[in-house]
Amino acid sequence: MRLGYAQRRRLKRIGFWALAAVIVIYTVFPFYWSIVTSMKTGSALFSVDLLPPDPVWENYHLIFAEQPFARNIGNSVLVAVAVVALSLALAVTAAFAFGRLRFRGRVGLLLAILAVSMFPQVAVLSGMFTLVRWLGLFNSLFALILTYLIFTLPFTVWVLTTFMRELPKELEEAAIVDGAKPLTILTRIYLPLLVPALATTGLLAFIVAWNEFLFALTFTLSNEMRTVPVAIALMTGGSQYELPWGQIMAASVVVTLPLIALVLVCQRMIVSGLTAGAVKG
Amino acid sequence: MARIGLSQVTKRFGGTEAVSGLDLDIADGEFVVVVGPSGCGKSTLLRLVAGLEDVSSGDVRIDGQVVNDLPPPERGIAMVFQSYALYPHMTVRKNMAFGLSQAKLRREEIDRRVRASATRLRIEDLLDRKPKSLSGGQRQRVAIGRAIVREPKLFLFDEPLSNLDAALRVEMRMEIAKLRRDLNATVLYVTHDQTEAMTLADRIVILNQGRVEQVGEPLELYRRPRNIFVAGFIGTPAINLLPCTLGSGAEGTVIVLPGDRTMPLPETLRACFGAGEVPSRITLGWRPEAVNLRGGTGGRKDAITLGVEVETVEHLGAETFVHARLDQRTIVTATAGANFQAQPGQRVAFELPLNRCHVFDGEGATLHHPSSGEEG
Ligand SMILES: Nc1ncnc2c1ncn2[C@@H]1O[C@H](COP(=O)(O)OP(=O)(O)OP(=O)(O)O)[C@@H](O)[C@H]1O
Ligand SMILES: [Mg+2]
Repeated sequence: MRLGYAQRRRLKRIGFWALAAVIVIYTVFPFYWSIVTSMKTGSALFSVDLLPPDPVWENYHLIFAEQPFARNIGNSVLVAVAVVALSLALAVTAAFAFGRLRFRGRVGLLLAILAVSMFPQVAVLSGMFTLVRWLGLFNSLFALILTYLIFTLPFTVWVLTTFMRELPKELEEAAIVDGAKPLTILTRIYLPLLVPALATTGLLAFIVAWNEFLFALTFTLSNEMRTVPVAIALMTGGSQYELPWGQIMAASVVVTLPLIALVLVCQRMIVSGLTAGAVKG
Repeated sequence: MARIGLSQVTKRFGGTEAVSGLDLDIADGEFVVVVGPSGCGKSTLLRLVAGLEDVSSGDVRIDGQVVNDLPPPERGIAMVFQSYALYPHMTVRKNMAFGLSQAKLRREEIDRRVRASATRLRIEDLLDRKPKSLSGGQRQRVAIGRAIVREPKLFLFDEPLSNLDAALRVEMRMEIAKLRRDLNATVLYVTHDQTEAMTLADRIVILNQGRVEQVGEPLELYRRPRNIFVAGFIGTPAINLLPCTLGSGAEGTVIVLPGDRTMPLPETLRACFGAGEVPSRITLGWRPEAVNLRGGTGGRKDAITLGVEVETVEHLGAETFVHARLDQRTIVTATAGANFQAQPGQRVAFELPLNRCHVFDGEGATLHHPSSGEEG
């Protein structure tokens, strides 16, 4: 049987949407499952339901009442924001040098920066621990901010360097002729054009800092200094033998929401074509 | 307005010399156009004057002062880039104001100048638009506007019209000419379009591989090129060049034209060599408009007549270019009247008057050009 053009097109469209549905379910389902679980208590936790039989918000109350969870979120926000700000500031200036200036050992240095991110996290852990202790930063958020830069700087520097190189050289020269100093060129000409790259790398850096577990576990001690992932993992229930699944799920949902909001905000900034109209016709 | 002086300016990039020992003086208010083939160092020359590149040796002077170590903003120049290089995130107004605000001018003054320049370039309506929503010609105007608001002593243009289509290019060319009269500024203008050079320039500098081939007024370069390169570069269609060899035959010196046509060396040509020895190779050149078309063969005494085969005929309306084949390697072009008709393959005779012949020696240096009274 031969299908007509319209029929074939319809089949194709159905196939496309089916595939899209599978992907969406695959990625969203775990998150949906946590939402459902977070609204259950007691033995209901262990039954399988697509919708919570009688949804309760108790778990959401409990995480803020029984744990310093608000404090943990605050810690995470502080650390993540500081990491993003620091890595972008350092990476933009580094990228300016790597992408715009010619100096001896440029490629070697770039590769060295990339090499930093090749070590497994555990391998640097003990060295970092010594360093943190020596700096007197143990059980302080500064320890996290400092050490997270190890993860974020390599990719922020690389991505921004690539973007920086793509920007037309004539723009810089026009600005030089216009009398702009290097810092002005960086802030008034390059930064606005790098917004998409900054949004992308900033978002990734934020997510890295927000979700980091191993360093956060090692370098903090008290409940008040913990960041969200550690706090959730170390959540204790009424007794030693009981894992507060409901609360853990509620906490997970709460901390995922800021990320989603952030992605939505950044998405608007990640538009291409900011340099359109700069050169050529 | 400013005087520019370049003495023995050399610029090396690693092993390659982009500009070699260049001397050039530009008078106050002069419009100098630099032309040359791609990669001959035109942009580099401009960037050396702008201060975007440092000279490897030699001196750049502006108004008599050596500016080798002066950064671009302090040289009192404005530059229009080949690619426009507008700041894409700024409106037209901000693009034009950027340089002025860097110079810490008062707000009202900036406003006044931006508006005046915008009016002059007829882009007042575009002031609040971003570059991406402008057409090529409008972008070009903005780029020029950004240069003129700064009221520089010296304008540097790097192929400003090369990204525009033909019609717009002619229009902008006239505008630049007009602008130049209004502003009365010194201009150094780079292009590889010789029509632009001929129409805009007070003087043309012909650059080839980083060296100056000739400097002179447009018509002077056209009529009295110093060598084959200049002769071939200026003029469209290009000058017809016939490489010839000279030898001695039974009746004295003979000249062998392309296609192995041998004839006694005409007296007029012999005169070019003066008392000196007759070179073994020379090149003869005729502008297409100097070539006459003739029906029959058998020619005048004071002309060389060549039998050629028509290849293509280009009717431009007012005149007609006839490209005809002399031998395997040589095409000769003639300018004919508007009504000239010929079929490809048809045999015609081209008459090359000796009094309009350029003569170049074996190295390409000019031995003789037609006296200017005879119109090139
Ligand atoms: N930054 C650079 N590094 C190395 N070589 C360069 C650099 N800039 C220019 N050159 C070389 O110098 C020579 C002259 O370049 P330039 O850009 O001045 O040519 P141009 O006459 O402007 O050519 P075009 O008409 O194509 O613009 C070229 O051979 C080019 O490869
Ligand atoms: Mg160039």
